Amino acid sequence: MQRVLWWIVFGTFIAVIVLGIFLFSLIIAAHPEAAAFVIGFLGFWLFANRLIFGYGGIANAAKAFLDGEIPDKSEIAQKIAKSPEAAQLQKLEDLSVAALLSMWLSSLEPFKYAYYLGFFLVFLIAALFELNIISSIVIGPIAEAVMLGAAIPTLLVWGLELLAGYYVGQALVKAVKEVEVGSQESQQNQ
Amino acid sequence: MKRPAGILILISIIALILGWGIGSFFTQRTVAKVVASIPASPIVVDAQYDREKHSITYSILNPGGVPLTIVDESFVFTPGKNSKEQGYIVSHVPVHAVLPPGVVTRVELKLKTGTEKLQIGDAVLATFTYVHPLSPDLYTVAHPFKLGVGGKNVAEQKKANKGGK
Repeated sequence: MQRVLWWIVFGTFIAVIVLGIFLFSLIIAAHPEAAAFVIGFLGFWLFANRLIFGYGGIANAAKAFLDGEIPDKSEIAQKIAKSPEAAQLQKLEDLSVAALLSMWLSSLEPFKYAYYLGFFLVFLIAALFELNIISSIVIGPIAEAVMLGAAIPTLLVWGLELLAGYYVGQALVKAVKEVEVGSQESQQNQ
Repeated sequence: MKRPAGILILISIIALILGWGIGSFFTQRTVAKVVASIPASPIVVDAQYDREKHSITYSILNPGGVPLTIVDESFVFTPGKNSKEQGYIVSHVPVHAVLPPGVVTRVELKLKTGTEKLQIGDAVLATFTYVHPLSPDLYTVAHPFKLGVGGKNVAEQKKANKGGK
Protein backbone atom coordinates (compact mmCIF):
# COMPACT_ATOMS: atom_id res chain seq x y z
CA MET A 1 0.00 0.00 0.00
CA GLN A 2 2.76 2.37 0.97
CA ARG A 3 4.64 1.54 -2.20
CA VAL A 4 1.57 2.29 -4.37
CA LEU A 5 1.10 5.58 -2.60
CA TRP A 6 4.76 6.39 -3.10
CA TRP A 7 4.51 5.71 -6.83
CA ILE A 8 1.37 7.87 -7.12
CA VAL A 9 3.11 10.76 -5.35
CA PHE A 10 6.23 10.26 -7.43
CA GLY A 11 4.20 10.21 -10.68
CA THR A 12 2.35 13.38 -9.71
CA PHE A 13 5.64 15.04 -8.85
CA ILE A 14 7.15 14.17 -12.24
CA ALA A 15 3.96 15.27 -14.03
CA VAL A 16 4.03 18.63 -12.23
CA ILE A 17 7.69 19.13 -13.16
CA VAL A 18 7.07 18.24 -16.81
CA LEU A 19 4.04 20.54 -16.93
CA GLY A 20 6.09 23.30 -15.33
CA ILE A 21 8.88 22.95 -17.88
CA PHE A 22 6.29 22.92 -20.67
CA LEU A 23 4.58 26.10 -19.41
CA PHE A 24 7.91 27.77 -18.80
CA SER A 25 9.10 27.01 -22.33
CA LEU A 26 5.80 28.36 -23.69
CA ILE A 27 6.42 31.61 -21.79
CA ILE A 28 10.00 31.74 -23.06
CA ALA A 29 8.78 31.22 -26.63
CA ALA A 30 6.16 33.97 -26.32
CA HIS A 31 8.05 36.51 -24.15
CA PRO A 32 11.77 35.77 -24.25
CA GLU A 33 12.68 39.14 -22.70
CA ALA A 34 10.39 38.63 -19.71
CA ALA A 35 11.80 35.14 -19.15
CA ALA A 36 15.37 36.48 -19.40
CA PHE A 37 14.47 39.21 -16.90
CA VAL A 38 13.12 36.66 -14.41
CA ILE A 39 16.14 34.38 -14.89
CA GLY A 40 18.53 37.30 -14.39
CA PHE A 41 16.67 38.41 -11.27
CA LEU A 42 16.44 34.93 -9.66
CA GLY A 43 19.96 33.88 -10.67
CA PHE A 44 21.59 36.99 -9.29
CA TRP A 45 19.41 36.88 -6.18
CA LEU A 46 20.76 33.36 -5.55
CA PHE A 47 24.29 34.79 -5.41
CA ALA A 48 23.23 38.00 -3.66
CA ASN A 49 21.26 36.20 -0.94
CA ARG A 50 24.24 35.74 1.36
CA LEU A 51 25.31 39.35 0.88
CA ILE A 52 21.81 40.80 1.34
CA PHE A 53 21.13 38.90 4.57
CA GLY A 54 24.72 39.30 5.74
CA TYR A 55 24.79 43.06 5.31
CA GLY A 56 21.23 43.33 6.65
CA GLY A 57 22.23 41.37 9.77
CA ILE A 58 25.36 43.48 10.27
CA ALA A 59 23.38 46.72 9.93
CA ASN A 60 20.75 45.48 12.39
CA ALA A 61 23.26 44.24 14.96
CA ALA A 62 25.37 47.41 14.71
CA LYS A 63 22.28 49.61 15.07
CA ALA A 64 21.23 47.61 18.14
CA PHE A 65 24.74 48.02 19.59
CA LEU A 66 24.61 51.78 18.96
CA ASP A 67 21.24 51.94 20.73
CA GLY A 68 22.82 50.40 23.82
CA GLU A 69 21.74 46.78 23.45
CA ILE A 70 24.41 44.09 23.66
CA PRO A 71 23.99 41.57 20.81
CA ASP A 72 24.74 37.88 21.39
CA LYS A 73 28.46 37.49 20.69
CA SER A 74 28.27 33.74 20.06
CA GLU A 75 25.77 34.28 17.23
CA ILE A 76 28.02 36.81 15.50
CA ALA A 77 31.03 34.54 16.05
CA GLN A 78 29.20 31.73 14.29
CA LYS A 79 28.72 33.93 11.22
CA ILE A 80 32.48 34.55 10.99
CA ALA A 81 33.87 31.12 11.88
CA LYS A 82 33.21 27.96 9.90
CA SER A 83 31.71 26.15 12.89
CA PRO A 84 30.92 26.80 16.58
CA GLU A 85 34.00 24.72 17.53
CA ALA A 86 36.23 26.86 15.32
CA ALA A 87 34.74 29.98 16.88
CA GLN A 88 35.55 28.60 20.33
CA LEU A 89 39.12 27.74 19.35
CA GLN A 90 39.70 31.13 17.76
CA LYS A 91 38.48 32.73 21.02
CA LEU A 92 36.23 35.00 19.00
CA GLU A 93 33.87 35.53 21.91
CA ASP A 94 36.64 37.26 23.86
CA LEU A 95 36.62 40.09 21.31
CA SER A 96 34.41 43.15 21.64
CA VAL A 97 31.12 43.37 19.75
CA ALA A 98 32.36 46.16 17.46
CA ALA A 99 35.48 44.14 16.53
CA LEU A 100 33.31 41.08 15.77
CA LEU A 101 30.99 43.18 13.60
CA SER A 102 33.87 44.59 11.59
CA MET A 103 35.25 41.05 11.16
CA TRP A 104 31.83 39.92 9.94
CA LEU A 105 31.77 42.83 7.49
CA SER A 106 35.18 41.96 6.10
CA SER A 107 34.33 38.23 5.92
CA LEU A 108 31.73 39.13 3.25
CA GLU A 109 34.31 40.98 1.14
CA PRO A 110 35.24 38.08 -1.24
CA PHE A 111 31.56 37.30 -1.91
CA LYS A 112 30.91 40.95 -2.65
CA TYR A 113 33.86 41.08 -5.03
CA ALA A 114 32.75 37.96 -6.92
CA TYR A 115 29.18 39.24 -7.07
CA TYR A 116 30.15 42.62 -8.48
CA LEU A 117 32.43 40.89 -11.00
CA GLY A 118 29.49 38.78 -12.21
CA PHE A 119 27.25 41.81 -12.49
CA PHE A 120 29.95 43.77 -14.28
CA LEU A 121 30.34 41.03 -16.91
CA VAL A 122 26.58 40.92 -17.54
CA PHE A 123 26.47 44.72 -17.65
CA LEU A 124 29.39 44.78 -20.09
CA ILE A 125 27.69 42.34 -22.48
CA ALA A 126 24.44 44.34 -22.31
CA ALA A 127 26.35 47.58 -22.92
CA LEU A 128 28.14 46.08 -25.94
CA PHE A 129 24.78 45.15 -27.45
CA GLU A 130 23.21 48.47 -26.47
CA LEU A 131 26.00 50.52 -28.08
CA ASN A 132 25.83 48.31 -31.21
CA ILE A 133 29.45 47.21 -30.84
CA ILE A 134 28.09 43.70 -31.24
CA SER A 135 24.67 43.61 -32.82
CA SER A 136 22.07 40.91 -32.78
CA ILE A 137 18.33 41.46 -33.05
CA VAL A 138 17.67 38.25 -31.09
CA ILE A 139 20.32 38.24 -28.33
CA GLY A 140 20.59 42.02 -27.75
CA PRO A 141 17.27 42.57 -25.94
CA ILE A 142 17.73 39.32 -23.99
CA ALA A 143 21.16 40.43 -22.72
CA GLU A 144 19.65 43.77 -21.70
CA ALA A 145 16.73 42.07 -19.92
CA VAL A 146 19.13 39.80 -17.97
CA MET A 147 21.12 42.88 -16.95
CA LEU A 148 18.00 44.74 -15.81
CA GLY A 149 16.86 41.71 -13.78
CA ALA A 150 20.30 41.44 -12.19
CA ALA A 151 20.36 45.16 -11.39
CA ILE A 152 17.61 44.81 -8.75
CA PRO A 153 19.51 42.51 -6.30
CA THR A 154 22.69 44.45 -7.09
CA LEU A 155 21.06 47.69 -5.97
CA LEU A 156 19.91 45.98 -2.75
CA VAL A 157 23.41 44.63 -2.09
CA TRP A 158 24.97 48.00 -2.72
CA GLY A 159 22.52 49.89 -0.51
CA LEU A 160 22.77 47.42 2.37
CA GLU A 161 26.57 47.45 2.05
CA LEU A 162 26.60 51.24 2.42
CA LEU A 163 24.26 51.06 5.43
CA ALA A 164 26.23 48.23 7.12
CA GLY A 165 29.52 50.07 6.53
CA TYR A 166 28.08 53.23 8.04
CA TYR A 167 26.67 51.53 11.14
CA VAL A 168 29.81 49.46 11.75
CA GLY A 169 31.89 52.65 11.46
CA GLN A 170 29.68 54.32 14.09
CA ALA A 171 29.86 51.25 16.32
CA LEU A 172 33.68 51.24 16.08
CA VAL A 173 33.81 54.94 17.01
CA LYS A 174 31.57 54.26 20.01
CA ALA A 175 33.63 51.22 21.09
CA VAL A 176 36.93 53.12 20.80
CA LYS A 177 35.50 55.94 22.92
CA GLU A 178 34.40 53.42 25.57
CA VAL A 179 37.88 51.86 25.62
CA GLU A 180 39.51 55.29 26.02
CA VAL A 181 37.15 56.24 28.85
CA GLY A 182 37.85 52.89 30.53
CA SER A 183 41.63 53.28 30.32
CA GLN A 184 41.45 56.87 31.66
CA GLU A 185 39.37 55.66 34.61
CA SER A 186 41.84 52.88 35.35
CA GLN A 187 44.73 55.38 35.22
CA GLN A 188 42.87 57.65 37.66
CA ASN A 189 42.25 54.69 39.93
CA GLN A 190 45.97 53.94 40.00
CA MET B 1 21.86 60.23 12.18
CA LYS B 2 21.94 62.24 8.98
CA ARG B 3 23.81 59.80 6.81
CA PRO B 4 21.52 56.75 6.85
CA ALA B 5 18.71 59.00 5.61
CA GLY B 6 21.03 60.26 2.90
CA ILE B 7 21.91 56.70 1.89
CA LEU B 8 18.24 55.72 1.79
CA ILE B 9 17.32 58.74 -0.35
CA LEU B 10 20.18 57.95 -2.74
CA ILE B 11 19.06 54.32 -3.05
CA SER B 12 15.44 55.37 -3.55
CA ILE B 13 16.42 57.73 -6.37
CA ILE B 14 18.49 55.03 -8.08
CA ALA B 15 15.68 52.52 -7.57
CA LEU B 16 13.24 54.93 -9.25
CA ILE B 17 15.59 55.38 -12.21
CA LEU B 18 16.11 51.61 -12.43
CA GLY B 19 12.36 50.96 -12.32
CA TRP B 20 11.84 53.59 -14.99
CA GLY B 21 14.50 51.89 -17.12
CA ILE B 22 12.92 48.44 -16.69
CA GLY B 23 9.45 49.77 -17.46
CA SER B 24 10.53 51.67 -20.55
CA PHE B 25 12.55 48.66 -21.76
CA PHE B 26 9.50 46.38 -21.71
CA THR B 27 7.25 49.09 -23.21
CA GLN B 28 9.76 49.66 -25.98
CA ARG B 29 10.00 45.93 -26.73
CA THR B 30 6.20 45.63 -26.90
CA VAL B 31 5.93 48.63 -29.22
CA ALA B 32 8.76 47.30 -31.38
CA LYS B 33 6.95 43.96 -31.74
CA VAL B 34 3.70 45.70 -32.71
CA VAL B 35 5.47 47.90 -35.27
CA ALA B 36 7.33 44.91 -36.68
CA SER B 37 4.02 43.14 -37.33
CA ILE B 38 2.76 45.94 -39.59
CA PRO B 39 3.58 45.30 -43.27
CA ALA B 40 5.37 48.23 -44.93
CA SER B 41 5.46 49.40 -48.52
CA PRO B 42 8.68 48.58 -50.39
CA ILE B 43 10.88 51.47 -51.52
CA VAL B 44 12.99 51.32 -54.68
CA VAL B 45 16.22 52.97 -53.56
CA ASP B 46 18.27 52.38 -56.71
CA ALA B 47 17.97 51.11 -60.28
CA GLN B 48 20.93 50.11 -62.47
CA TYR B 49 20.85 49.17 -66.14
CA ASP B 50 23.12 46.23 -66.99
CA ARG B 51 24.07 46.66 -70.66
CA GLU B 52 25.50 43.17 -71.13
CA LYS B 53 22.59 41.29 -69.60
CA HIS B 54 20.07 43.77 -71.04
CA SER B 55 18.31 44.00 -67.70
CA ILE B 56 17.59 46.53 -64.97
CA THR B 57 18.51 45.64 -61.38
CA TYR B 58 16.34 47.33 -58.77
CA SER B 59 17.48 47.67 -55.17
CA ILE B 60 14.30 47.46 -53.10
CA LEU B 61 14.18 48.25 -49.40
CA ASN B 62 11.55 46.64 -47.19
CA PRO B 63 11.36 49.10 -44.25
CA GLY B 64 8.87 47.04 -42.21
CA GLY B 65 9.13 43.93 -40.10
CA VAL B 66 7.09 41.58 -42.29
CA PRO B 67 8.62 39.83 -45.29
CA LEU B 68 7.04 40.84 -48.61
CA THR B 69 6.97 38.70 -51.74
CA ILE B 70 7.05 40.12 -55.26
CA VAL B 71 4.86 37.84 -57.36
CA ASP B 72 4.56 39.72 -60.62
CA GLU B 73 6.48 42.28 -62.72
CA SER B 74 5.20 44.46 -65.56
CA PHE B 75 6.90 47.25 -67.43
CA VAL B 76 6.31 49.83 -70.09
CA PHE B 77 9.17 50.78 -72.41
CA THR B 78 9.06 54.28 -73.84
CA PRO B 79 11.81 55.11 -76.37
CA GLY B 80 13.74 58.35 -76.09
CA LYS B 81 15.02 60.56 -78.92
CA ASN B 82 18.15 58.45 -79.55
CA SER B 83 16.41 55.11 -79.77
CA LYS B 84 15.19 53.40 -82.91
CA GLU B 85 13.20 50.88 -80.92
CA GLN B 86 9.42 50.99 -80.80
CA GLY B 87 7.65 51.41 -77.50
CA TYR B 88 6.31 48.19 -76.01
CA ILE B 89 4.60 46.80 -72.94
CA VAL B 90 5.47 43.56 -71.16
CA SER B 91 2.98 42.62 -68.51
CA HIS B 92 2.61 40.01 -65.79
CA VAL B 93 5.97 38.30 -65.75
CA PRO B 94 5.64 35.86 -62.83
CA VAL B 95 8.51 36.10 -60.35
CA HIS B 96 9.04 34.98 -56.79
CA ALA B 97 11.34 37.40 -54.97
CA VAL B 98 11.12 37.55 -51.17
CA LEU B 99 12.03 40.89 -49.59
CA PRO B 100 13.23 40.16 -46.03
CA PRO B 101 12.39 42.81 -43.40
CA GLY B 102 14.73 45.72 -42.91
CA VAL B 103 17.18 45.04 -45.72
CA VAL B 104 17.74 46.03 -49.33
CA THR B 105 17.11 43.23 -51.83
CA ARG B 106 18.18 43.28 -55.47
CA VAL B 107 15.52 42.30 -57.99
CA GLU B 108 16.41 41.87 -61.65
CA LEU B 109 14.01 42.88 -64.40
CA LYS B 110 14.87 41.35 -67.78
CA LEU B 111 14.00 43.57 -70.74
CA LYS B 112 12.38 42.05 -73.78
CA THR B 113 14.84 39.78 -75.61
CA GLY B 114 15.75 40.77 -79.15
CA THR B 115 15.23 44.47 -78.51
CA GLU B 116 18.00 47.02 -78.81
CA LYS B 117 20.16 48.11 -75.87
CA LEU B 118 18.80 51.06 -73.95
CA GLN B 119 19.91 54.47 -75.19
CA ILE B 120 20.12 57.63 -73.13
CA GLY B 121 16.69 59.08 -72.64
CA ASP B 122 14.87 55.76 -72.83
CA ALA B 123 12.34 55.26 -70.06
CA VAL B 124 11.12 52.10 -68.39
CA LEU B 125 8.18 52.25 -66.01
CA ALA B 126 8.28 49.09 -63.93
CA THR B 127 5.36 47.91 -61.80
CA PHE B 128 5.95 45.32 -59.12
CA THR B 129 3.04 43.45 -57.61
CA TYR B 130 3.69 42.19 -54.10
CA VAL B 131 1.83 40.34 -51.38
CA HIS B 132 2.31 40.06 -47.63
CA PRO B 133 1.28 37.19 -45.33
CA LEU B 134 -1.45 39.07 -43.46
CA SER B 135 -3.96 39.40 -46.29
CA PRO B 136 -4.62 37.86 -49.72
CA ASP B 137 -4.67 41.31 -51.39
CA LEU B 138 -2.26 42.35 -54.14
CA TYR B 139 -0.36 45.64 -53.85
CA THR B 140 1.71 47.41 -56.47
CA VAL B 141 4.62 49.79 -56.52
CA ALA B 142 5.57 51.56 -59.75
CA HIS B 143 9.03 52.95 -60.42
CA PRO B 144 9.86 55.19 -63.38
CA PHE B 145 13.42 54.78 -64.68
CA LYS B 146 15.03 56.97 -67.30
CA LEU B 147 18.51 56.06 -68.51
CA GLY B 148 21.09 58.81 -67.98
CA VAL B 149 18.85 60.86 -65.71
CA GLY B 150 19.40 61.21 -62.00
CA GLY B 151 23.16 60.59 -62.22
CA LYS B 152 22.87 57.20 -60.58
CA ASN B 153 24.73 55.20 -63.21
CA VAL B 154 27.54 57.49 -64.27
CA ALA B 155 29.54 54.75 -65.97
CA GLU B 156 26.59 53.69 -68.08
CA GLN B 157 25.91 57.30 -68.92
CA LYS B 158 29.43 57.80 -70.30
CA LYS B 159 29.15 54.69 -72.45
CA ALA B 160 25.80 55.87 -73.70
CA ASN B 161 27.27 59.28 -74.57
CA LYS B 162 30.08 57.72 -76.63
CA GLY B 163 27.61 55.49 -78.42
CA GLY B 164 25.45 58.46 -79.22
CA LYS B 165 28.29 60.41 -80.84
